[in-house]
Amino acid sequence: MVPSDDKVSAFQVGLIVFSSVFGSGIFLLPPSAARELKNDAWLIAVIGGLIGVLSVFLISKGKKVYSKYGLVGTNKLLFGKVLGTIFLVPYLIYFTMGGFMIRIYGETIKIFLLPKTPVEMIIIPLILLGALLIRTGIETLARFFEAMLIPIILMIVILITVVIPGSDFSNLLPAFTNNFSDYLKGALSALLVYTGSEVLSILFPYMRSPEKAFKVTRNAILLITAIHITVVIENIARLGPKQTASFIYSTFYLVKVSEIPGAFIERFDGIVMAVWAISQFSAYVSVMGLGHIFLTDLLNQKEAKHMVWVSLPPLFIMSMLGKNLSEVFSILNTTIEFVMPFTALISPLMVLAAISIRKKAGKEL
Amino acid sequence: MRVRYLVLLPVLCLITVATGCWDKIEIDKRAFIYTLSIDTKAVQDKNPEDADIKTKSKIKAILTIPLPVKVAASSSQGKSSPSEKPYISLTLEGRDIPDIIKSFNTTQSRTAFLDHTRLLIFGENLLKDKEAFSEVIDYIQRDAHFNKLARVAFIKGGIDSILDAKPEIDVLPSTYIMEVLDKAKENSLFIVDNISEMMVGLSNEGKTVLPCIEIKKDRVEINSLALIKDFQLLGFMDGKYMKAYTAINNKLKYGEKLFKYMGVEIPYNILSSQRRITLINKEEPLEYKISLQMNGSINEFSFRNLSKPATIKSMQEALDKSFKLEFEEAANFFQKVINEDYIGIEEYTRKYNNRIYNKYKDDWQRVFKNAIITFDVNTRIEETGTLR
Repeated sequence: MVPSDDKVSAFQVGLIVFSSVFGSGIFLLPPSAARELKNDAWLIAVIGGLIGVLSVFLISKGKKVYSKYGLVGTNKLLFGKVLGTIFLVPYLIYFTMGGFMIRIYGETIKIFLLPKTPVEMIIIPLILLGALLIRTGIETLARFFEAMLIPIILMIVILITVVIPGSDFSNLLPAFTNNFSDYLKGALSALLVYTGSEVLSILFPYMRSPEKAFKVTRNAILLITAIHITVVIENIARLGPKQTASFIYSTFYLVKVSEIPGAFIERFDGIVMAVWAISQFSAYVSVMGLGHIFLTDLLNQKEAKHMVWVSLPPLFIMSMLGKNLSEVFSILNTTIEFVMPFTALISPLMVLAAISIRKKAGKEL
Repeated sequence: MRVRYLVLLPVLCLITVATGCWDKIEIDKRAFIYTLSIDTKAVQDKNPEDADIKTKSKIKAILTIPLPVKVAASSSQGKSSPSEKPYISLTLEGRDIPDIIKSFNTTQSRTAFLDHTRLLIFGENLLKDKEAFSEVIDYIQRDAHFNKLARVAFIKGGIDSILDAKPEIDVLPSTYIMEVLDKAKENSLFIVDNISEMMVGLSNEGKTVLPCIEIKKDRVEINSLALIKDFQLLGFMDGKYMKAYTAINNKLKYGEKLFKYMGVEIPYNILSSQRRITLINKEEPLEYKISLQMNGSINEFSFRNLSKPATIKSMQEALDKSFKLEFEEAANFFQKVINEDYIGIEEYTRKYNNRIYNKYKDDWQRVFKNAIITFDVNTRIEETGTLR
């Protein structure tokens, strides 16, 4: 059930999708892209962006049905209760990935800032803080993202400007020398960074103007793509493809080793790290906020707030899976490669096909 | 409403309590390692369990730590007295760098802090030991806190000689060495000057070139460069090739060139330079043309007239010849003496003529040795000072 006062504007919808997708992409994409396509790493950002735009396009096509019934209701209506619920399982898996997001957050903070603090002590306060924010509703969440927008833009501007001196753009050469299979593998790795567009299918019932959904979310994805392309190019230009590929977070390293001659601030990594924390937390609360709406609908609950607390223990357990960051990334990559093609592309296509069949059959929606 | 507060209160309490920093170390409890000098020491392993390993390289490090109170006192007095050194230099040994840091932390009253390390110096034995050097580099790269902008240099004669540096103006020997490195870098005598730049070369091309410092009679000198390939010392490049090396690598920003004109030795100040490589012959032997545009000024000419365009032109031609000779000698050194491509020919071929590179990449050393490299130098004298 959607409270009548818990609605978001078109701009806020774009912002929610931006926050869900953006997350740690600028830190995670360059090394994984360089491992797949070396000098052509930036192409992965382009491929990922196109997949993201295609995903929001397909989801937006079903806006009328999604607005009326929500994601869960639409699936149950179009495919029946049993099959519809089975088709929702990948979404459930997708939302449990919030646990991994918070784990990555905790582990990164541990590596760079708090090496002796147990990761649980970093994760628990964040889960609780997220829960407090999520339970206040989707509009409050959108307002939180609005407030965070300026620091995030500031971080991107700092990041892009400080790393330019010393760049050697000839590192992008030789271009287009990979095999076709490498580009396909690259497209799969792009999925990891561009997950999040699926949240749009849950957002529709909360939108004041669903007809603007595609325009704003497309712009959000294109903005992220532009940022990703720039950051990947800068990583390759400064560090070269081999060194970029050797890192987990090459962009952090890049900022750490960048200095502006004559600038009064010697190091910028502290600022970027602080804003990254906000950005990653925003992605987490966005996915979890919409995940708990999904769970409420799936379990046919009228009140959403208590579901926040119910979802915390499994979320914490999920965040503790994997002994180290490598295992976490391995689980996350495998899950995304399995889930993302379905939630971002196949499921919206199936919904559109089912709508078309029902319309032809003359059934009402 | 009451239930809400009952839920929120413990949550807020937990958030407040659990966000405490477990890593807190007060600033006065930290030892700021200003300079880290690393070398290896071959030791006999007496442990019978390791009998199959007869000798094992052991890391030796000299940690230079400034003492802030004494530094402040020395700075105000102008120079430190011999009895009150404003720093301490500790020599420690261990299996690896973490072992040395652990050894420091367990024997000293402060915690080693490497985030602000400004100078990293490698000894000759370390650079000859591929395994030990790659372990050290891996640690530095892997550690999230080690300052990757720290200056990096190689020291001839072992790291112990670092203790012989006696600064006359600076308070710390480390700052003295860094100033000397800075001045050399300003004059484009070398390219790589910090850990990050060194890592870019080692990771992508498998090669790097480090400034080589020598302590001679208390003084720090840079007369050569250490050539490193695959985490091992390959050899040294004499100081006479330094300028040509930076110019051919398109990194020459400033510098001086002495040339003879009308029987007088004149200094030409290089203000900027640009390099362009072209592959002329794509069949073996590969033939490259390296075009260099040098821009600079003449600041002295024994009160002779420099206002005539013809004089400037003939000076430029003399400079062209002199530069060309210098560059050819440097290229010859890398091709025939070192037989390793440190002048960017391989990188250029890979980036701009990838098909040709793929054809020869497995045998690149031989192809590079036999390649014909010609130089086309165009020198410009842009300024001649305030006299005619």
